[in-house]
Amino acid sequence: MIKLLFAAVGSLGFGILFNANKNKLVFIAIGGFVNYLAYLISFYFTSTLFVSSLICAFVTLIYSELMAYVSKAPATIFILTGLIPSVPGASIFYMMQNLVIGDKTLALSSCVEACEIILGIVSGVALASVLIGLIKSFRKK
Amino acid sequence: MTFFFMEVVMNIALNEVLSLSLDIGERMLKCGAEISRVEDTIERIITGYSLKSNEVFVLNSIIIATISNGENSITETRRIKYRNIDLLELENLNDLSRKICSNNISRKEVLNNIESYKKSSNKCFTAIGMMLASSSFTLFFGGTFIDSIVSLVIALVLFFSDLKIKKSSLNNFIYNFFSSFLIGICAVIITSIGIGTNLDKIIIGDIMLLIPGLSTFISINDIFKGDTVSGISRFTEGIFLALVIAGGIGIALSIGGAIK
Repeated sequence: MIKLLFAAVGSLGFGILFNANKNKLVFIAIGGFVNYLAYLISFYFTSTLFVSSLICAFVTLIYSELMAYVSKAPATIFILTGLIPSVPGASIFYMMQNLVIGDKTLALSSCVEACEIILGIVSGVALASVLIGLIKSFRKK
Repeated sequence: MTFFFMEVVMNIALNEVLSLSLDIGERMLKCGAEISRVEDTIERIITGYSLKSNEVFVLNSIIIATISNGENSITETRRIKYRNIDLLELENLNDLSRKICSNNISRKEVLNNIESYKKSSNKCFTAIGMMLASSSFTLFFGGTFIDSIVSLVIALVLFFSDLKIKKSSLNNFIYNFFSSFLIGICAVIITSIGIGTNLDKIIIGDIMLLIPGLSTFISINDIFKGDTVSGISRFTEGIFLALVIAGGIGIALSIGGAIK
């Protein structure tokens, strides 16, 4: 549970690093929080990495678009910082560590893990952008 | 004579509008905006100055735009060599382009605005952000409190090497390779002294600082907005960055293993 807090603080750190507007930092931290919360809940129910990273990317994009609409700022601000807790930095590291040690099966399994997460994020982003595009085209009419 | 004078005036205006819109577009792309947003902004600014026909094409490394007023047409290109994410500047530029569309602002005013946005980034905040992000991600992946402090120190080392490197504008891949190698070596040395227990958690926390390169995976967003070429080139860049970071860490780890 305390991981949620660290995810939020991590996103906040990236918000500061990317020199985001001071009054948006709270929303950025909430973005990281929402991202990891979505991951935790979906992992609890499905227990597959692919589906849960799909759902958490989807939720983050919808959240960013909502925040962009509310605060009249580009959605990129919230997408870039919000998606960071779900990026597979750990799997890539473990892949390399196991390759250096010489344990091929473990290296392969973490490589597959990283690919799973990346594909999940990509399909989540794709799904969300299709949905958002549809909604925007309806609003314009 | 008066007709000739009119034509010259129109020409200058055409020129000014084009380079002004491209200035804004170039800055936005450098700050990390999506392709479709840049294209949209440039088109809107040009139509905001009531020039009808315009062709804008944006890739993640170049912007090409042509405008005409019915008689004359001019083309201008801008090459984008590096990208440095700056969200505040992006937001300000977005507001500025909206202002230009609603009521015409003089070129000087716009240029002054762009210059003032450039200076807004603060080195001190960058260091704080890096330290905060790396230490909290070390804790996030299950490190102890001492581990997070070690990764904070490594983030500081990375920050100072950043200051030295960015001035001599290295290639993105070489920069990421060197940084991940630096992270690995620092972590190996500090843990072999006996401070910090989990080498893996420390390195992962610091690797997250290089992740913005990896988050180009969201370039899939660009593809779904119709910019296939830019999307694919960014996506490929992301995959290669992942490999480069893994390579740098791998070399550092094998050196660490050899020492032990």
